[in-house]
Amino acid sequence: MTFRISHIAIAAAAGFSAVALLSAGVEPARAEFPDKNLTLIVPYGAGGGTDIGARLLAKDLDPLIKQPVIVQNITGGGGWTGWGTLAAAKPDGYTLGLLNAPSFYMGYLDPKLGRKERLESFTPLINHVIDYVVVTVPPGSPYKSLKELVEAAKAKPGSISITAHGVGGDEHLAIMALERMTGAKFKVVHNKATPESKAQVLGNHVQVLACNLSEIVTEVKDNQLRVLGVMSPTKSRFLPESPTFKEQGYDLEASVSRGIAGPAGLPKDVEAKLVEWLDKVVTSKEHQDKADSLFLELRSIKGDAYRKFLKDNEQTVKDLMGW
Amino acid sequence: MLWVNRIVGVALIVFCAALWQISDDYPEMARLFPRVMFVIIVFFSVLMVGRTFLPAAAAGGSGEGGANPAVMVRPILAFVATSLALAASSYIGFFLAMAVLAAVLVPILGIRSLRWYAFATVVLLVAVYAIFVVVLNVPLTLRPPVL
Amino acid sequence: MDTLLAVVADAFTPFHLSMMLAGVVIGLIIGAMPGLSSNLGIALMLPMTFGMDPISALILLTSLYTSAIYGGSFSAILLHTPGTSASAATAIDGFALTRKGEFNKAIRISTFASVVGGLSSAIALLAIAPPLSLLSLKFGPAEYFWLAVFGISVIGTLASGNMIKGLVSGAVGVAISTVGLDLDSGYPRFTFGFYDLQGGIGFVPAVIGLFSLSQALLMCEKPHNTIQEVDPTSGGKWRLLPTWAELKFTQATIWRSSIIGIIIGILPGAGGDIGSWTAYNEAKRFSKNDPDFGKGSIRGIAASESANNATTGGAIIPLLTLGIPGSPSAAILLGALVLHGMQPGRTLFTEHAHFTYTVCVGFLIANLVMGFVGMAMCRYMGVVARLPNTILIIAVTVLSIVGSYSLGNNIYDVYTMMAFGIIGYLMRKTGFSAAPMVLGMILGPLAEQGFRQAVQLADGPVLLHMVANPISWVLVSLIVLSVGSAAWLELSRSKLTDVMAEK
Repeated sequence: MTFRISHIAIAAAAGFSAVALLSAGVEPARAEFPDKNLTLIVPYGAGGGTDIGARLLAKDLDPLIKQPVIVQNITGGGGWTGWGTLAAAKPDGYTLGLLNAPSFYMGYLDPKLGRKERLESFTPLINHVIDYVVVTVPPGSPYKSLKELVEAAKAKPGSISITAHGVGGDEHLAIMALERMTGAKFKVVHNKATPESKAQVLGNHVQVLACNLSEIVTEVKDNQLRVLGVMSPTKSRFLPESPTFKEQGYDLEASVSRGIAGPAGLPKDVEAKLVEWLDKVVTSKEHQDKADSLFLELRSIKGDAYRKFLKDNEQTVKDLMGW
Repeated sequence: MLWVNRIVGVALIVFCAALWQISDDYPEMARLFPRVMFVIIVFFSVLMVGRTFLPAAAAGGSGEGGANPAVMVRPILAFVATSLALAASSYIGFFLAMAVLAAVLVPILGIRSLRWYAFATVVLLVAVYAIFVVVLNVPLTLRPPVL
Repeated sequence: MDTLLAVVADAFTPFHLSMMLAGVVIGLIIGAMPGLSSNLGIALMLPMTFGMDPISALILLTSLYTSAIYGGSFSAILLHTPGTSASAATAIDGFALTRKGEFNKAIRISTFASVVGGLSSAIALLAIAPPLSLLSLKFGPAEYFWLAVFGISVIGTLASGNMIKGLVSGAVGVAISTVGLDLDSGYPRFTFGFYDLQGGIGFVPAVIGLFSLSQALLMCEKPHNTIQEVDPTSGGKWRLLPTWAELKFTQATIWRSSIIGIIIGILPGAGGDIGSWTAYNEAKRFSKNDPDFGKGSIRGIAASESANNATTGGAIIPLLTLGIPGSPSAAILLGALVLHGMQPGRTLFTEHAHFTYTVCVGFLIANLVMGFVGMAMCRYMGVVARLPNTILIIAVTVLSIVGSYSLGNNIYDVYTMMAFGIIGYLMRKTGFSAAPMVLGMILGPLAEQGFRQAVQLADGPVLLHMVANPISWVLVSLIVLSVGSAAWLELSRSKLTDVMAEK
């Protein structure tokens, strides 16, 4: 009896492995990618900036690939629960995720936090949104230009308060870069979210508001805030009258950027296809119009260029934070 | 309740002392607030324990549910069963695990009329499937992943 | 003006009306089931609102909030078992009336009082919140620090049960809120090497554990309900509105109790249960000439029910303007707001004014809808209230797991929920109230951030900076007042316990 069973087992096992081998052999000729739905991991909660942008993208990607793109918010750990899940996902192109720079560097660059993932744990596909840091003050502020602000901060170091959103965040990095370039020193007040910072500046508790451009376009148009400088290479379409840092002699750029990535080791053909589709969406007119209503600037940076963009950003963070 | 207050009070004091030690490496401003809270917790714990030795003051704050500790057997068994079902859900799938949990609760809770209970469980799981899996796209595993 | 029209029009769209109706019906059912509270209802329904736009989600949840508190009166009146702790005072006179065969009268009064209490609180919300939000800009870090300290001092002193235990619970909640990455230094605090703890302990999973799973575990103690049976057919005549005589007899009580309820609602952390007891005791003082009071007086029902529903709108006022929840349920609503991308504060009344006003108007209408639905359903509420505990146990357990998982598709949130579930159960067994812990978790970060930013921003001595603003003086005096009255409250607590023992 035992004899027979083991025979059957061996036969079955052999059959199984034959099928497995066969199917593995058949793999390259598999059905066109994608033949099932895609999952887009958003490492932050529903309703936030990252989520809104991701859902916009998913909606427009959907008809192009003729498969549903499902947005999945995996929150926690300052975004790293989602990124960790993405890095550990099967590299088949069916699981993608949003990558937020510079927020995501801290988790592995800061030795205190000790994540094992690296930028190399992901396959960067394309950059989607870029939102520049902007420095603003209330209309009644004594500082009429960036130069006046910097000079005042140099004259009395640490006397001027400015908002940011956590150590290693884009505003914090931008302020540090400005301090390093000019020798000025600011008093950085960290808040969890921009509305808190806005309220502190509008209520004259904190003097200067540093945040992202998309977050203050409405207030600037309503004359509740005055822009001292935008940290973009050229003038923003949304605030064409506001000067950039560069125009005022401070050659600095700072932004938060969000792009799409997969886990490391995506098959080359799948990667190429995804980049092509995503680029089509990001550069399309309808998509741009929708992003405009949110004051979001789209910037398609594809494949290797995106990888380099992220790597350069990583180096900047390393230098500024001393990690 | 006398002994509960004493045990909880002493446990909190020990806990705070341990966490005080842990927070030693933190930057000064990062550890200030937690340490203030530890001092406050210890202060209240001492008060709470101290009061149990005053004859006049009632120990106060009677708990909910039955007073006899024996009544806690069912809740604790139910909690253990739920934890095990949760652990099992990654092997046998979420919905099967919940169905097993519902079945395991039958002897734990001493359920006699099975018909309504079974019906309600099925309705519940179907509703959860419809709302969370179909509408909200929550990736709850429908069947054992090994299959 | 057209914005007002747009808001009202938006509140009346079929989808929003159906969300309102859903919230009202679910709230009524959850409220009527003994043991299932408004906290539990909001915590369990919150994850289901993820697919919705923020307006629908908040309309659903606020409707559920007010209606669950009203729903508690049904089981209090019918079965002498308050459906929620906010209706405990209702049970005294309500059940006495049911015994006399006048349960329809009791329901009628409780419905009318609840609707009036809820409506007046909604009006207070619409009247007070916008000007208060303007004032909110005057709140700097120092003022927020004092506000949070005030909130924490109120929670502890007003927590039902033992005061010191309430304070311990609140302080532990504040301490729990410090887990995770420190915003200012980027240092991971009390994470013990767990990556998942770097983002802090999830508030909503903790709340689901503390309020929902702990309740399921508590119900496991007595899985088979034994509730006094009263034949509901001999309930007297059904009427939608109270008679003229009933109105005249109760109107002063209802107005007084509504105002008490609104004020207690605004106070951080004090919710429906404290509101209804306070109003009940006040009504008792004013009803010396009513021999029936405590033995089946409609004034007793009116006082308790108008006050507990009046706390709902009151509790939302500081929530929307300052981010300070006025009750434990409002704390969960704050979680819902943030999850839907809305930050409390001035922006809710400027940038997101349409959202805020639509939700407030929706809340107002929901209080009316609640009255009609309640009166229509009152015949069947007895059945709902007697649903077997065994079914509630499995339902609440499964929904707690699914709900905490679907928040962020993160299994760690489920572990958090389970841990807080067993902690919450043990706390309730040992007389520690869970509500102060929940509020401590919300107020803790406000207090810490306020203090640290105030230290940073101070140009001279920190203490001078902390009390530079008249708002700070008011808040500091309020803190002194609340701590000072704490001892007095602790002494008179025995009196309150006497009243509660009568129920």
